[in-house]
Amino acid sequence: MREIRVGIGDYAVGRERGIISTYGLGSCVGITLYDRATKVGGLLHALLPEASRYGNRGNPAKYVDTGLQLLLKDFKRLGGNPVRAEAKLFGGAHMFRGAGEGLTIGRKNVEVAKRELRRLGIRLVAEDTGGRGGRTIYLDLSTGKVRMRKVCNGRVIERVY
Amino acid sequence: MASEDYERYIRELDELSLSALKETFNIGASRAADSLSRMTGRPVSITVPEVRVVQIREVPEVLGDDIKLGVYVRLSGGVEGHAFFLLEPEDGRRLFDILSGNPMGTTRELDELCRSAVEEVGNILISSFANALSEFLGTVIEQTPPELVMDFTSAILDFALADVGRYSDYTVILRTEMAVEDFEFRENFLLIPDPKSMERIIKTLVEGLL
Repeated sequence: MREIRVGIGDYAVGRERGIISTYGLGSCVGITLYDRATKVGGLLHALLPEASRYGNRGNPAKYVDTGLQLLLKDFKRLGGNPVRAEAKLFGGAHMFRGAGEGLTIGRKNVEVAKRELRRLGIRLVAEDTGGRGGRTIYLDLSTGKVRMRKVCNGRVIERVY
Repeated sequence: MASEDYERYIRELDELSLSALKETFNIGASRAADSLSRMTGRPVSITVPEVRVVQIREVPEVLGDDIKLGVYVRLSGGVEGHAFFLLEPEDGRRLFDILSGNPMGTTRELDELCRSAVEEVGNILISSFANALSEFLGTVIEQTPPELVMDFTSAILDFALADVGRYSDYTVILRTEMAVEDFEFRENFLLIPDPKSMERIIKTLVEGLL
């Protein structure tokens, strides 16, 4: 099956067939959108919360807010409807105690993701966020289901959302 | 602030700057190898084969996105940044076999003992690097206690990339190669410095060369 891998600060959309995945979300967040009626789906892997906080510098897809706008634009272009869209949110972990500011970046990413989804009128139907472990996610474009892999006490566990 | 132009700065690093960086880190690496060799009583060699400027987006591609052991130490004071020692879980077990004098393949599980040995090795490597750097720069670098996790590579690194990502879509990555006796390890030592520190490091090193 075709798999599109999304890098850090990047996004992709697709319709009906294939998988869109992103690997190793730590403090980053992964947001998936899916429209069941048209089977259009998309995934954003964002590194930082708000573009304006950092002077809108560089690649807009690395920020939750501007990245979500880009994702939504392509989602609509393929026939996705924001009113029908179901969003799922993953990541926002804090990996190390000594990380300084890194301790709060994950939490901020999650907060801003929820706020922006609300502002855009998109329903959040599932989330697996926070905690200390990284997450890898796979969005199945034929069903809208998201398979998540997570490392827990040295073992990989899987869940489907 | 200088870091406004950090992205352009690191993308346009010249040969002189890159080789000065590589040279310094090679000296740090050989110090680290000496410390590790004293600890284990075995010959250890560590080299820095490359210093690269990469797009943050491509980091998972460059470093692989499988599950690794990662030791993390935060640097502050004279140099602000994040230092990581990344190792394949399988190599963590091999390393422990070497350190404890067991025949290769004895350790099957990454138990507490094995994990703390890997953490200690990571700590020694990172401190030796940091000490070499602090001598070069004539500054004091403070270090947090090491922390070990086992997770996806980019999950281990992304909060540090977020730190750099505030200024730039690019980051500097240096990779190392390590061998203990005849065994080669596919490990990576990564330093992700704060942009201002990075500029200062390069400036000081290049001035030292001229």
